[in-house]
Amino acid sequence: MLRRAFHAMGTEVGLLLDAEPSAESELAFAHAEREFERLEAMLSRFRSDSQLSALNRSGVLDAGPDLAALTRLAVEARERTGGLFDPTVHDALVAAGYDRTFDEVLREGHAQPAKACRGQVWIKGSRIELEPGFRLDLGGIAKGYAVDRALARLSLAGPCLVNAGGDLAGRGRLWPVGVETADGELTLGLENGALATSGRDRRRWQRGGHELHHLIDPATGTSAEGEFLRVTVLAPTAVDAEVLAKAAFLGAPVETPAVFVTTDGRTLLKGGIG
Amino acid sequence: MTNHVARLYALVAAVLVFFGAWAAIAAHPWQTRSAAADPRLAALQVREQRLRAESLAVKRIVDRRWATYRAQLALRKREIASVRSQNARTRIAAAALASAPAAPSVRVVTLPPLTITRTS
Repeated sequence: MLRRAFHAMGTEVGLLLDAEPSAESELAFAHAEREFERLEAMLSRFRSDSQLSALNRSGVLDAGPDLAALTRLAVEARERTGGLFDPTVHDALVAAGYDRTFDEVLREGHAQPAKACRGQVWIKGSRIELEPGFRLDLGGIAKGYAVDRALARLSLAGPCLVNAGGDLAGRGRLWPVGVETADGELTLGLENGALATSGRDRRRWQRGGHELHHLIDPATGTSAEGEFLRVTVLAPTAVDAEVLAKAAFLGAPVETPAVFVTTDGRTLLKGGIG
Repeated sequence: MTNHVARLYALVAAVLVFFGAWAAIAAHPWQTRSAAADPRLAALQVREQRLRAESLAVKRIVDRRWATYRAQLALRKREIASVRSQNARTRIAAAALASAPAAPSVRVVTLPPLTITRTS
């Protein structure tokens, strides 16, 4: 088993390739890593020179194919989840305190008024236009997109798995994946699909004495509250898994296999797992 | 004797007159005067100046169009490179998708995990 690890998109990325060391495997690793770097430079809201930042500054952009495709996926996901997944949570996230890379976010501070979400996004060809007063945050779905893209490159060299801080996708064989539950670690065998986990147990901080986290409820514009601590969902792609996990965390019914961990310490296996 | 001298003078005078007339005729004095006044030559000169001016204008137009063509060619080459790159990415994605089964699956196993999913 060949492994490669690097830092990208604010998290640790791990690549697994079930193959013998060769020039082909090295090339596949290099292509997959380069894909993460390329997409991060294009889709990060923390980089002033990214295409996403240019769109957020001007409100309209003749975007490249990746940003246009991902924005289209995000808007479709919003429609599919009835608005539970929303790419226009940028200003709500900033108001909540997530206004810089997570490593630099102030752990305590004053509370700011919540910002509205669910802004309009118009896409015509490669042209993206945002409703005035709204900006895009593609953080989670961009990570899923990068996982899918990197997996497509890496799979040319053999069975493989790409894991970007919990958003992961595998192909070509059964991949044992650990999932944190209330009762310890559960191992799921993943075949030709993707798993993503959304929760409030990480990326947390305090504002005005209240604990906040990065999962914004578009209905309120503030950190989501509810009975779940963490949700892990299976989907065909990492993009879909990311969307479904976030929607499930916010209460959407999930028919695919999923692992729910509640705030009161229960673990629920759904969709035929176990 | 007197007649011989007179004839000699007359002969010398005739030779001088002959050469003088020859020189005068060889100088073509009538041509200079008529050429300066020839309207066809003047028209030719005007036409030459007009053609020079027109050729300069045409050269400027050709230079401008050449520069435009080169700029459009460079743009077109960039577009072609972009499309080729996109096509290559699409082929890779299509090949990867073609080799992947449609339905993902997951089940609980007892194997040691190779990786872990946690809140991202």
